[in-house]
Amino acid sequence: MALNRLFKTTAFRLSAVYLLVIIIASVAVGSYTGWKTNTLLTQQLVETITVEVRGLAEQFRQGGSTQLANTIAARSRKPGNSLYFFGTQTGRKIAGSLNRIPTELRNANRGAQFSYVWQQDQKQEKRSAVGIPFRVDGGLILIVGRDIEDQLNFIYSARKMFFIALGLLAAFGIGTGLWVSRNLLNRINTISETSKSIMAGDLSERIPLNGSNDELDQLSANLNNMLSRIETLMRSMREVTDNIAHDLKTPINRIRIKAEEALIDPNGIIAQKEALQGTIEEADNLIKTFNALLKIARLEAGAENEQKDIVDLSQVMDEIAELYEPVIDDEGMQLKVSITEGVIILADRQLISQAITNVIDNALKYGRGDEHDENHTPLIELKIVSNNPYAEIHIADNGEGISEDNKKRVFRRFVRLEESRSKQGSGLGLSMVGAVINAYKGAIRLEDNKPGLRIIMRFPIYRETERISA
Amino acid sequence: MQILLIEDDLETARFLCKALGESGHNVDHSDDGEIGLQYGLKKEYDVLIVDRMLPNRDGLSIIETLRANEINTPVLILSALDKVDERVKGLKSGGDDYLTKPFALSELQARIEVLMRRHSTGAENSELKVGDLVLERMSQKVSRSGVDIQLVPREYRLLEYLMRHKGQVVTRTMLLENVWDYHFDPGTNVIDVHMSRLRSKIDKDFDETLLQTIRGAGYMISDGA
Repeated sequence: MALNRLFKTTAFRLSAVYLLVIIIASVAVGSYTGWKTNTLLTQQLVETITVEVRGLAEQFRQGGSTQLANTIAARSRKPGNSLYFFGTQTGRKIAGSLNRIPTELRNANRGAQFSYVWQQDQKQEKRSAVGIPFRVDGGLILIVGRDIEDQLNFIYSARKMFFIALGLLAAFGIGTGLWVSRNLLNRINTISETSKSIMAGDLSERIPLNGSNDELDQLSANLNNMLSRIETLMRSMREVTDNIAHDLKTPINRIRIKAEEALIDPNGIIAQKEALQGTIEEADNLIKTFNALLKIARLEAGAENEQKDIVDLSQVMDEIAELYEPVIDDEGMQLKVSITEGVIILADRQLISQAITNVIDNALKYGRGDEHDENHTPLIELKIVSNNPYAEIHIADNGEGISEDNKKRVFRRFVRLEESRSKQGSGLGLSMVGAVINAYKGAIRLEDNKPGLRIIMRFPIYRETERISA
Repeated sequence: MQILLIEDDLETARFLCKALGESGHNVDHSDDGEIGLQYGLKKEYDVLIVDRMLPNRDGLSIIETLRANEINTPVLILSALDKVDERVKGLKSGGDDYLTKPFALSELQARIEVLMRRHSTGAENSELKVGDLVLERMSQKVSRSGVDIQLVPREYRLLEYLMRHKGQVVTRTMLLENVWDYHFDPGTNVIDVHMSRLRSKIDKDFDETLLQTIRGAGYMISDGA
């Protein structure tokens, strides 16, 4: 089964295809080379024989068959590859190193390959040769040949070598293919095993990296990053669900208590009316919380699709300062406004305004500082500055500020710092701010205002117009 | 007043029919988009209340068809779709106001009153009067019994809106939407503080109180007569 899977891998199939192509190409090249070499050698052979025959024909012309026979006898004695037969066409030998006409040449008019028996001392060997027969006047025949046994042997062994090499290549290729595929398969198996365990619910699992930083490693690293992101999202989702369950249970329970109380209250109608009034108020608060949750979820889900208009941040802040001035004054707080004119960003006016008012609401609620200190005047500072390439919104108070640990927490849904539990609030204000910041590629910083909290939101500036002088 | 309510949630419809009936209106109700449209085309109404997602015909399509047939009855769109661009879509199709569900009855009633008296609100008058309080639009001057009252620009716009709808309840949400163009609810009750400032300017030195707080609903300016 495992082998079957191995054969099915892309890596193995690829190497098999490569191997096949290489083998086909090698066979083609090898055959061509072999054929060409053979042809060349044969041609050379025929030429040598032809030249020799021309020499022998000269001998014959000069001294007839006797001189020819003598020359052949002399040449036959010399060592070498040359083979001769000179005799009658019936097969009687006059001179030469061959004792009879080779059967293959007996009736032939042109050259052919033949075999003969080679003898030296006690040894006898059947060898191959090529020869050309010539009819000589007077019923005689002359055969001139060349031993090609060595040549043939060379070709055989070359061919053998070639096939052995080819076999080795194939074996090696398949082996390597299998090895590579197995390695790859193992690593991919690890990835898919990890995915399976993640699908089963364990989001903390990560794909091990081998540190080679190759494509697979990079893929794994990216998958791991994706998993981390999903895990964070899931965790915050779970947290939100838990918080919703908890934070919504309380008001629903209050509604229930109010209704129950009204039922048993002896004051009848009046008490019931009061209870109903309270129920409506609680329900309204619940609706507000749900709306805020929805808004945040929508911003987080489709941050990219959010409306983008040209928003004059200076004007937005101007209007908000005006909206809040009476409230801040009523609360006995001081308002300090400093706005650089004409700071423009791309965003949605409603969302930006809401984000700013959410932060101001927090400052109003929690930024008052020590109420009993006579020398302390609570202050809220609103500021728009252009800090190229960013537009900065500063909202600061001189209250107690918040600790470093809490600075990250406050953006989470339903998180309300312990000391402020007594005051009304949904714990969604800053989550909403965070979602708006993300939707418009902004950033938010919580700084120590010494004393107090300074929240700085910033967004990329769209265009900074000239200051319009009134 | 004749009101046509096209709403497929029967619980909401029953509640609205009862509440609006008690305020002295005649309410026709349909829970189907197509049938509702036929009512709107055949009978004359003072106000239409139209839900957005309806069986057989979408609320926006009803309004568009009515407008195409030159029926210009004021329409209040009632919908659970609460995104700002949904509101824009609703108003673009020919709706006059947009109220998101869930809503408070007082809010709905205030808005219906405004819509019904749309033509008698004096939007075009150069001078608005409530009792002895006078607002001159050209010069943006406000006076009561001949005494000039100094208002900051926002207070002026607040008062102008209230005076245009004199005798009608104006909710906090309506003020936020129409005077500030904010379609969200700032957490702190900023409107109340603005109103108390305005009141101290126009009512403080006079016996008759013109600007009243309507409990559980909003505000109303009237000469008490």
